[in-house]
Formats: sequence, C-alpha cells, structure tokens
Amino acid sequence: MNDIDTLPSAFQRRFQKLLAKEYSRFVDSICQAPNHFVRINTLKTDIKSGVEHLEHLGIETSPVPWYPAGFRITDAFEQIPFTKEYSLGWYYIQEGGSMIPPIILDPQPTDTVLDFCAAPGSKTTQMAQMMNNEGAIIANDRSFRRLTSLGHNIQMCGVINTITLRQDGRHLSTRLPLQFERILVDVPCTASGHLRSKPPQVKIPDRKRLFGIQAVQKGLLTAAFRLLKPNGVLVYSTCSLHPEENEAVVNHLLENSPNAMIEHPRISNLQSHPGITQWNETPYQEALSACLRIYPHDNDTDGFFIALIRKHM
Amino acid sequence: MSQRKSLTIDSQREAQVWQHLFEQFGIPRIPGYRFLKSGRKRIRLISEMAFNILGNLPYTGTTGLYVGEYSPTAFRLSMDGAHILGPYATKQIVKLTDEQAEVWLQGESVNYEDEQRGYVIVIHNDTILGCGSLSEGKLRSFIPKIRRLKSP
Repeated sequence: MNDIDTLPSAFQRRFQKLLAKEYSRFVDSICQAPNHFVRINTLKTDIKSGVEHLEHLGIETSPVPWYPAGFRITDAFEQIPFTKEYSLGWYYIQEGGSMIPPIILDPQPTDTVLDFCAAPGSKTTQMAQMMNNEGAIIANDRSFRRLTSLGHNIQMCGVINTITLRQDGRHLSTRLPLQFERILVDVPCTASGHLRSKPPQVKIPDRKRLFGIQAVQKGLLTAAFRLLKPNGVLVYSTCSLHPEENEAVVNHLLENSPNAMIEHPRISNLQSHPGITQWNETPYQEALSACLRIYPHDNDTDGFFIALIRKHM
Repeated sequence: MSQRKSLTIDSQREAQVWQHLFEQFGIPRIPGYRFLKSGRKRIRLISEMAFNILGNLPYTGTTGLYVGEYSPTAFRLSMDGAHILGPYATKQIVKLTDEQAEVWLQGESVNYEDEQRGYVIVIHNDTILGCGSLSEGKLRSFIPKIRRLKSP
C-alpha cells in the first residue's frame, strides 16, 4: 500500500497536472489496498451458480456494475484458489479494469477477432465467453513464456474458438493473409495504472525508456490497424496513465491513417474521464477527448486507458 | 514454441472419433464442433469458424481445446473435455459423494463399486468433475497435477 508522504515529487507533479482538482481524490484512492476481482467463466457455469457457490463458501462478493460476470471479492479472496470450482475453471481472477476493453470491443459470436498482444489471456478468455465459444479468435503474442500461460488459461477456461500465434505483432500484417472485424490491441506498457499494488517510484520510467515503449506501441497499433476490415473496429488499451503511451500513440495513428476515426465507447455504469488533447505543450487531435481515461478513484479499480477506433471505408 | 501447422484430420477419421464417443459415452456429433489431431493420439476440439480459418494460417501455436486421447480401443477425455462434452453423455457416468469428490479432486483414487468398467465421466452434485477410470472397485483420478485441489 502506498503512503501519501512517500510519493516522489516527479510523480506528484505529473498527476497534479493530469488531474488538477481531483488530485487529492486520486492520491487517497491509490493509498488504499488493491481490490480483488473474479470473472465468472460462463463457458463452465452460469453466473447465478458461480455466485451461490462463492457465498456458500463464505466468500463475499459484490457485482461489478459494468459487467454482469464480474465480481469484486470483498472478503476471503485468498480462499478462491483452493476451491473445487476454481480447479474446475469456474472463476478467473481478473482485475476489474481489465474487463473493460473487451466489453468496449463487444465481440459477437459470428466475428473473427484478433487479439494482438493476448498473453496471458484474461481478455482472450473473456472474449471467448462473450462470443459463447463461437466465431474465432486469433490470439497472438511474441513471448514464449507468456504464450504458455495463455495456453493454460485457454484450456482451464474451456475455450474452443481460439488459435494462438507467436509473432512480433509489428510484422503480423505482412504475414497474416486475413482481415478482422474486431481487433483488441492491449499493448505492453509501463503498467503505471497499477498504482495500488506497486509503489509509484517505479511508475515513472526515464524519458528514454518511455519513448522506447512508445515506439513499440505505435508500431503495434499501426500494424493492427492494417489488419482491420473496412468498417471494422479496434480497441487500443493500456494499463498505463501516461499520455505518452496513450493519447500520443493514438494521435500518431490518426495523423498517419486518414481513415481512422475515434468513436465514443458506450458502456453503462462506468465512471471515466475524457482523453486529453494536449500534454507538455504538444497538442493532440480534438477527437481524442472521446477516449476513456479510467483513474483508480473512478471505479475503485486499477487505472486504464481505452480508445475505440473505426476504420472508415 | 515452434510454429507448426495444425494437424487436421480427414472427415472419415473425424467421423470415427465421433462414432467412438457415441458408442463409449453416448455423446452425439455436436454441430459447430470440429476435431483436430495433435500428436499421435491427442485430439483437440475447435469451433467450426476457427477450423475454417486454419487453412489460411501459415503457422499456429495452440489450437482449440485438448479434449482427450483417442486410441482404437477407447477415448480418454481430458478434464476440460469432460466438462464440454460430458453434458451430452448418456452412459459411463458415475456420481460421487462429498467426501469421495474431495479426495478424487486431490488426484487420489476412491473406492467405487459399480458394474461399469473403463473410462467414466465423474459427477458430483450435478457438476462434472472430469474423467476417471473404473476397475476392480477403484475409481482412478486423471486430474492434472496443476488442477488438483490443494489445502490452504
């Protein structure tokens, strides 16, 4: 848990600039202990049975307002991995904020979906259950170690509509002879939104590292956009709150792809802030205000950034 | 992980697998479900749409769900294979008590007297736990080590 007196000055300056009057609410929020969440895997059970079994075991839950299969565990979270139902794949431990990008992408059972940076598979398996195990998901990741986790999670969740690939996403558009209706691009990032579980000292990388990550993110988003069908939609997301990894990356796509259009995501019962249109004297396109910035004090989750992008004809 | 072409099985062989599942467990052919071969005996289950895409992919990693091992004499369902195909089964089903289920999920064999023999789908309180092997009054557990029930 963070201590308000130990927040580094660089961290304070950055988030005061981003949040202005809301900064103190934000700091209060990140000084809380992290919350625990599970997703009930509807490929293995139904939501009612999943909740009843947790309650029967004395594990207290409260529903996540923006996703019917998501639950906050308010007590006895540590018992979950030792339950019979967890062993059977009924529950998937997934942070509440991480459930949001697939909801915004809204994959349908008739879709062919590309999950661009899929491992370890929280969002892949969530999309599979949203698609009722129908349609198809191509789940790509570059890391062998992370793909092993992805394979395990696909198996445990009972997913049959997914094929995994191990490729550098930046080259995928030249190697994959397909185009997709929906693409999720949940890129590698500094994870600066996980402010409750890790001290903020490590959350502001030096300029060289930050712009190195940004270059990878720009490459991944550009390559993913090439694989999108006309009129298809793409969700770009990070668990970072740094504008350099978020608005700056999406702005780069908008400036280089005239047929990329930002849309306002529609999601009920979720608090969020608009994307910013200027950072450190650099203006971004006004359309970026339609993106979602989710701060820890908005919904009592980790921080997230999400952009919904459509490819116009 | 080496990138490899997924091993599809020809429609005749696929029909044989379905026929075997029907004869062994009473599981009928399920529309929208297709089988793939993985290795000599392993069978994976994949959605129809993903199956149709496979031909367009020059390379793949894990494809679909590992549902069991098939030999000319029997089909041994995996834990998750039993979860997805088990609800369609009409025979080779055994039901465990609370105590038996607890022990069996820890990977241990339990005493179980029954006329059935061979691979069975194991149920506890209407929930499918997995697939076991029944012989000489013992029900063997095939729960993978990583999925076994552990004490806190």
